[in-house]
Amino acid sequence: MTLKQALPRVAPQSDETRQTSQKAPFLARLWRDAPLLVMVAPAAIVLLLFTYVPLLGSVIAWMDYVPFLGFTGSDWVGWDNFTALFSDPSFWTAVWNTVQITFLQLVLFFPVPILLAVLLNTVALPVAKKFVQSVIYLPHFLSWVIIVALFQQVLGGAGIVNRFLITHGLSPFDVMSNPDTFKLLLTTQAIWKDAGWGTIIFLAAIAAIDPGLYESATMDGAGAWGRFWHITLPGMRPIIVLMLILRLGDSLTVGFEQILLQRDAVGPGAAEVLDTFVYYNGVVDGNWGTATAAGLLKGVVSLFLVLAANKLAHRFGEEGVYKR
Amino acid sequence: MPFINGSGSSASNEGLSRRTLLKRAGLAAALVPVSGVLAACGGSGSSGGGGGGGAAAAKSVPLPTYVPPVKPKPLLEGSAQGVMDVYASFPMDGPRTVNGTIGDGSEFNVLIMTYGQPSPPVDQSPYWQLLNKELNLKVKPLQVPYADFQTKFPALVAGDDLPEFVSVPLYENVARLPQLAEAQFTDLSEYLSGDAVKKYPNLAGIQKAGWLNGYLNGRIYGVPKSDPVFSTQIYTKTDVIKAAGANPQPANLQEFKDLAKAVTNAQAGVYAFGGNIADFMMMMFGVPNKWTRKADGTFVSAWEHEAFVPAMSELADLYKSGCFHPDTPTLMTNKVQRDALFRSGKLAMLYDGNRSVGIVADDKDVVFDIMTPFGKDGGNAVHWTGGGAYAMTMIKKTTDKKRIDMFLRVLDYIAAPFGSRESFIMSYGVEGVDYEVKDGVAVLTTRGQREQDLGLAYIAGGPQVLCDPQGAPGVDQLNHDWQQKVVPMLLDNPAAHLYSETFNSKGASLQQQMQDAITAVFLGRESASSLTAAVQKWKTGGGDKMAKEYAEAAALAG
Repeated sequence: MTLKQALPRVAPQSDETRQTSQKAPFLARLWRDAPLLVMVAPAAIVLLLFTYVPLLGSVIAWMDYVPFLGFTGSDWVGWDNFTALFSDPSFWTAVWNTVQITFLQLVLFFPVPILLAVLLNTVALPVAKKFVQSVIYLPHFLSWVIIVALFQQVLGGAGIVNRFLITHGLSPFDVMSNPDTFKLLLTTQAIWKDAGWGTIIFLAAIAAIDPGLYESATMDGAGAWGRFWHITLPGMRPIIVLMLILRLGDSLTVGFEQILLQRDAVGPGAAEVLDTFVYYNGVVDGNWGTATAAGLLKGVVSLFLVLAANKLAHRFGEEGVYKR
Repeated sequence: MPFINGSGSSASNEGLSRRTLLKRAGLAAALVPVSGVLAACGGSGSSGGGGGGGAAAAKSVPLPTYVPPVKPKPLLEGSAQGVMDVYASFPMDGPRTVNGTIGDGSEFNVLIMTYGQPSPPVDQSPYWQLLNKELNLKVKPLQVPYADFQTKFPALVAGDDLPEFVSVPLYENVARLPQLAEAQFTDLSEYLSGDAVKKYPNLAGIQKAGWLNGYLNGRIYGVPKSDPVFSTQIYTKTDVIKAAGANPQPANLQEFKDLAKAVTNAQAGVYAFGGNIADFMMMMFGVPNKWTRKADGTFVSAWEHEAFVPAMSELADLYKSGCFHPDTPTLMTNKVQRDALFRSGKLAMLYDGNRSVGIVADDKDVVFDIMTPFGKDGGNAVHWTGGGAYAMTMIKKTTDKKRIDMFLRVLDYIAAPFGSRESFIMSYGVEGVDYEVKDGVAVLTTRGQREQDLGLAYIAGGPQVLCDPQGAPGVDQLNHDWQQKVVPMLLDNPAAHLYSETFNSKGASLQQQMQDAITAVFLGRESASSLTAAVQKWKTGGGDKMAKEYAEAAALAG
């Protein structure tokens, strides 16, 4: 748990370096920071090679791209791909589904790890705490294929629950292939799989809060709720905001594999999201140009979300992911 | 799709199915249906035909001359309409059809789509070693599991990572295949056109319907693996049906519905079906095979046929009446689980490709029959034919004549007809390891079945036969009789082997749209009347253009 101390305390330090660095000349700063720069170099190179260089490929959003003809052999088509995209109702279905799922996950999923972390923190017995932690971390390590199969086996039309209902003459219910509740199902699965795992960072944030504050608060007569409200929550706030912004950045990535596996059961009307739209349009149907245009739009919207969330964070006096 | 892979199929199922698949070599049809027959067959029909348009106008050449292969006397004779010959067992002392050394000891890197687990490595597979020796090559297959093909193949193309030899299953509906062939693969016309093919006698034994799939812009780019004309069948689990006191051979829609209702017993977990039977319903209602060519030469889509929406409406009613397995939405794309449910008697009927008969027959305890198709008011249904080939095998662009000749010699070996020495080796491998002789009949061992996962038999070949001495007794006769009854119902797709630029670039997504619309109606998410709008969308999205292009291509072809 190195995060424990590191996370909240790193920030003020970097604050100071920033301020002093503006005064020193460039070369001097370079020399001073050389070890740090060397350390960050491998990650920066990986990022450059595998994130920024591939971005250049986005030019195919303006091409009728055919892979075996390549960049040079494919025709430039201007904004045709975007026009085709915007006039395609299935694209808008995908956008709308993505937005709905993003919203649901933000509202229903995001708070769960925070609550779990707070609850876990109240468990006094270390053994019990460790045990519960291990159990709730476990589903994170299962692949979506297994999780979807598990849900199918238990809640599916011929799953344990429905079989029991049918054999006892009761009417079965349908959650696995019901388009109306599909998005809730997705969110439920995501919570079941990853909420436990998500507690780690919040537990670290809680652990980093000075125990002296609790002691003083208790001396001053604060109850459990008071301590939570006035100490725990404010102590976690920077991390919560940071996580929220990071989450927003890829919030349009709502779970490709999870959805792909279940898309056929409820149909694209309920389950097509931007990522699956790109997959079916581009990889399967060979419309690389249009699919890239869709992917590009998603990237732009995500960037906007991060910037907006960060601005909001600044307004509330938080640091966000970068400083003003 | 990964779900199919991950959902864990039992080893015994896989073993059984693989063997028959390979023995009957082809299996295309076995896996095509239920999730998207229409999409699949439309593709195999037209994606190959015509031309890429862009290529410099090379002279149009005639198709390879057909020289019927010498065949052993069948137990039951097939027919020119497509009924397959039946043999009691595989002759073990067949004549040699390929002479001289084939390869030059080099590597033979070939992309093959496979259905089972990956084959055991070469040093553990006497079958593979034998083929290497026979071909005088180091065969190195790049095996792509069928569940991954739609993703893997475009990735290989995009990354320019295709191996020297590539076999493409046509029903996978690869986007822009004609353009790909012209851009990346060798024009084989001078080696195969007309009488030139006679240098490779076994390739000369492949019929026109197969060759048409690799015939682009009047040039020959690929060697086909022929496919029977029959597409799909309904298998009936007669013991379950009889126990329910129902008639396993309905004669019209009403009797069919009665049967479905009678066998369904939710309390016992028994259902009539476990997948989409949309195509079966359409054929029962007389919906044409993808397209109709009218007297004035115009093409009209089957979606616009007056029986299409009523057929789907009946389908939706059937689903609503509860005679489909509750897991149908997922079973549609999970063949392994569907098969298992049928075997265990939880599904009374199974709608699948006609080669699935082998998979079913492999389990000798399964009592089953094949339902003869019928029209909705009695009489005949129509039965859509396929595109004539399961796969097309090509060689990357090269001017090395010796290499091209070697490639064709290898395919000549693989395409050896039933009864020949080479065909026996392809099907059975090494005696004592891959097969044993019992009462004069070669019987594959479990190891032999595993080693055949190499998949080389999928890539080239002429007409197939019915020969399943290891299957349920009488299964070949059963299938033969079924085929004879279906011959009068066969209906071709008039657009098969015609080129349409729109189909080439947009066909796959347009088909998917329609398939999704049908599934939505089937599962009761939308009313049948929503299909009218879906068809309209399909038409404006490219369907109308396709009709026009097909009409032009047909006029050109005469």
